[in-house]
Amino acid sequence: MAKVDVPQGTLELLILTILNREPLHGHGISQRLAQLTADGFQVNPGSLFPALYKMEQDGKLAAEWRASDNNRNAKYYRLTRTGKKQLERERERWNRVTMLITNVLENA
Amino acid sequence: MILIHRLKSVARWVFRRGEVERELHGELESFIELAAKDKIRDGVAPDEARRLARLELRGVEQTKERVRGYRWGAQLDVLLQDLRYGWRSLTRQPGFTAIVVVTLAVGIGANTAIYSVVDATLLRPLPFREPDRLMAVFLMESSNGAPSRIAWSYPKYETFRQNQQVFENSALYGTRLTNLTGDGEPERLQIEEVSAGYFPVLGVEAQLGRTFLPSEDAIPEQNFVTVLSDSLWRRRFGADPSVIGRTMDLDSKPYTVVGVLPAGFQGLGSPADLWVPVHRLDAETLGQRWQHNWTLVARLKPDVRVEKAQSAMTALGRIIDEAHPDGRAGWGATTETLERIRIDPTIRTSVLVLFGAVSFVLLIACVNVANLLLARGTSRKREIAIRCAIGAGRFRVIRQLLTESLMLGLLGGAASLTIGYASIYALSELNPFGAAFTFGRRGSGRLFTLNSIHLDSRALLFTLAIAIATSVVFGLAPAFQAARRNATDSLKKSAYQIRTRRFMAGKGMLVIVEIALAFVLLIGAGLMIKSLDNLLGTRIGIDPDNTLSVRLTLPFDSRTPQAVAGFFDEMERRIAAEPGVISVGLSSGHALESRYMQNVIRFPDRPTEPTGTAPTTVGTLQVSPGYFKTMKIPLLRGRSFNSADRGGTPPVVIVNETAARQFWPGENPIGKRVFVQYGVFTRGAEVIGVVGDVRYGPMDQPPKPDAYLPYRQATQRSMILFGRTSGDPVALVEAVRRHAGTLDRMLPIYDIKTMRQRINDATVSIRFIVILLTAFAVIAIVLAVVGIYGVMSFAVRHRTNEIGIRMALGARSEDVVRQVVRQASTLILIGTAIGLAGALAATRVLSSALYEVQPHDPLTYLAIVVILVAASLLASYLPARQASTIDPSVTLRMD
Repeated sequence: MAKVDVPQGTLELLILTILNREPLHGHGISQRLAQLTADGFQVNPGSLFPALYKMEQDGKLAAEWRASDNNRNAKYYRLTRTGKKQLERERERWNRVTMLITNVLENA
Repeated sequence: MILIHRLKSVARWVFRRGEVERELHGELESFIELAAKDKIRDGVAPDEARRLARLELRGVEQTKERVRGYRWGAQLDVLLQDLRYGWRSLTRQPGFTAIVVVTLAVGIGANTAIYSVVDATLLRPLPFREPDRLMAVFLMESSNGAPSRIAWSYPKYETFRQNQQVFENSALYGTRLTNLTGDGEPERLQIEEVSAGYFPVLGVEAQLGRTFLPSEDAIPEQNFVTVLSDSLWRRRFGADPSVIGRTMDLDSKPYTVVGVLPAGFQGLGSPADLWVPVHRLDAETLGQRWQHNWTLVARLKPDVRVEKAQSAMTALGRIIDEAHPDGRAGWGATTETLERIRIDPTIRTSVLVLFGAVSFVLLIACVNVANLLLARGTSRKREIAIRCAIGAGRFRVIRQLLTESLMLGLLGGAASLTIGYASIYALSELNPFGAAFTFGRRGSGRLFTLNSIHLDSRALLFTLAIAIATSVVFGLAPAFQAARRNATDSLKKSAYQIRTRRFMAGKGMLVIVEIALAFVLLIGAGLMIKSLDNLLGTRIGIDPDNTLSVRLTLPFDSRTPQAVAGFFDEMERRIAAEPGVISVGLSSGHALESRYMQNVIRFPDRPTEPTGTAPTTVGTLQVSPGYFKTMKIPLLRGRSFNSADRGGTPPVVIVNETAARQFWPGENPIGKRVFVQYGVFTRGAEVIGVVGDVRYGPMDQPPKPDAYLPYRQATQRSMILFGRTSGDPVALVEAVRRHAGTLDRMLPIYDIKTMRQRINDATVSIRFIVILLTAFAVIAIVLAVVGIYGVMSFAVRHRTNEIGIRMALGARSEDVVRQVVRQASTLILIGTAIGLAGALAATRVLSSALYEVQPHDPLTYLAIVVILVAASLLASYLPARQASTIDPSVTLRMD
């Protein structure tokens, strides 16, 4: 299956979901995403970092430097309380959207 | 929440940028390391793995730039960069910058000045407590056909007070002039006679002492107390707080000062110096139910709406009519919010017309600046193309250019303050509506000058707002135009190739807009100039040259009418004996005074009007025998007054031409008997003469029927002395002062003016509008001509090549001139046509300010078309001439 771009506006939701489980660094996030979608989604790190910075600036993520599994220092991101709330909201919205779209697709 | 995080992040960027940048760099490096490690694990060679990881990131520096793009702090950097860059490019071309700033300063400054007038007269709330609940209540009277608002008499006010339920409080006020005597120079002061409720109704409290007590509003002839204005207190008493309790003599009666009002309070009538209670008057004066001397102001109860008050007043009008029957019906009462009547409708129109006109000036200034920016944009095209080529986005270029426009706009706004300040100073010195403020140009309605015209924070805010708005207006089009250009295109092609097609669309449009706007302004100015000319050409009925007029008012003391007449007789005799005096006369009013006494006139041979219809009235003036000769009012029939027409002899009147024609059409009025409701004339008088018409009302109103009474048969304490001199009439002032001083030491001399000055006063508000509109129109046409010149020379410069080729192929210089001028004429004609349509629509709002000119006056339109077309053709001819001198051998080598 060919890789598809992450649908517009969902990158934040994906990042929030992934980080909700455990704090990760940038490379970790992109790996995890690849793993979860069996390489189906194409996330360019060039757009991942701006997104992470924006979310950090808005207080949804907090970051700290610590050693990674293979002993290299990396910047780890984790969800803040604002981020958690945001995740709930986004998730609910996503569920609604997909449900509505599915309805339309199946019943039209 | 988010805002706090963002601010923190901005702060971190500003103060610890190195750290932030290092962190970002470290993070990206670690990403590459980690990604490379993964790839090495998958069997890729280490160097190749790192290369692939870098590739995956699509460039470390580019990613950094993208991240920075999301940083709020970084946006600040871009702004600073834009500002620095903009400043450099503005200072690199100081001539260009200066022209733009001056153009904007003129446009914005004029707007600031006019805005201050609009703000003072229309926008700023009246300076009283809860001003929207303040109402003016009027009696209605309809003797001249159309019902008009009139003032109150005290007995009718009492009826009002006892029968109304919609107002929580009410008060009467009326303006008088009084002579202040005692310590220091005798002075003529404006006083306001008020009932005790006046200050509580307005919500004004004394800054020192107190205002009037209810007990000072009860018993006639008991209350000789006064409250001073702040300015009189400072001027006459040096702001001495011990003034409270002191006495001062007003019309020879001692009044005790009980308070000083806050600075800026001037009363509701003409600006007053001091206030006295209504009940200083005697019971007889107060009891005169037909002396309508006072205006009524009232404060609505909190839960009552304006409409309800209005219907309540209609009902109350009937109660007042029943309580004070005078045989004529339909007086009635009406009420209006103070806010609604604060300005005379004609002045409101004038102010709004000026505001509209001045915004046109600003628009034209914007168009000119846009023009200049477009021209500069063309010459900066390479610079912008280079910026695009090295990675500036379209948005970034637009932002850069808009930042420059904003800088120009703000510089222009700052410079405009000098112009605005100077104009406002000039405006308030001129006090354009001073005369009109009291009665309105057409004598309609009252008007309040309660807010002064000055440059305040509101005007500054307005200036800032329009400076920003104009920057966007003039900057947007050039910015988009510059950014639209394709970078490679601009680098390759010459200006000539890009220019041709867009000429009509872009710069051509600007020329059209400019001409159309200038046209409308010129028409407005033209119509107003013609109105003023008509007004100045009006036959007033007197010869105003070489005449001095001085008002002399004797105090209301115990002098008998004979003594009063004696005083004026003596003054007249003494002035007549002065050297250089040709003749002397006295009258109770002067030409163009706007408001003069009207009395009911009846005729013995005709039935009185049936009840319900308005009685006939006649304007009444008391004059001395010398008045007609001094004013050069021609005697058309019969005889003039002489010294035999005095108290005790049979009353006689002289009527004007209009009265003779209206009252006795086709008959000789001499010898007819009339009853004029004034003093002994109520019992009948004989018409002995007919004189020419004089306009005593506003200048733009035709003469009404007037009757002159000999002042010795109808004595008045306030008379105007007129002196006609062979030389400068002002030289007579000293003699009047000297003689008045010896005859009555307490008598102040005031209202000293030549009749020429009075005519000027009567036209001051229309002249003010004419001057401003003309100034705006001149600025507009200058800007437009400069704009057209700029556009055409720009066009010529960029077609040098083409013109050179044509001339090399044998075109003569006339052909070149014709071609350029033809191109300009198309624009000029389209602009004129649009302007014509705009003017036809816009001048309708002017019609109330016009005098004997139609808003669509064909001659004015024709003249303006000729002026504008000629000026714009000239502006395009000069560049065309330049084009025709192009030397083909030089231009062909240029590109």
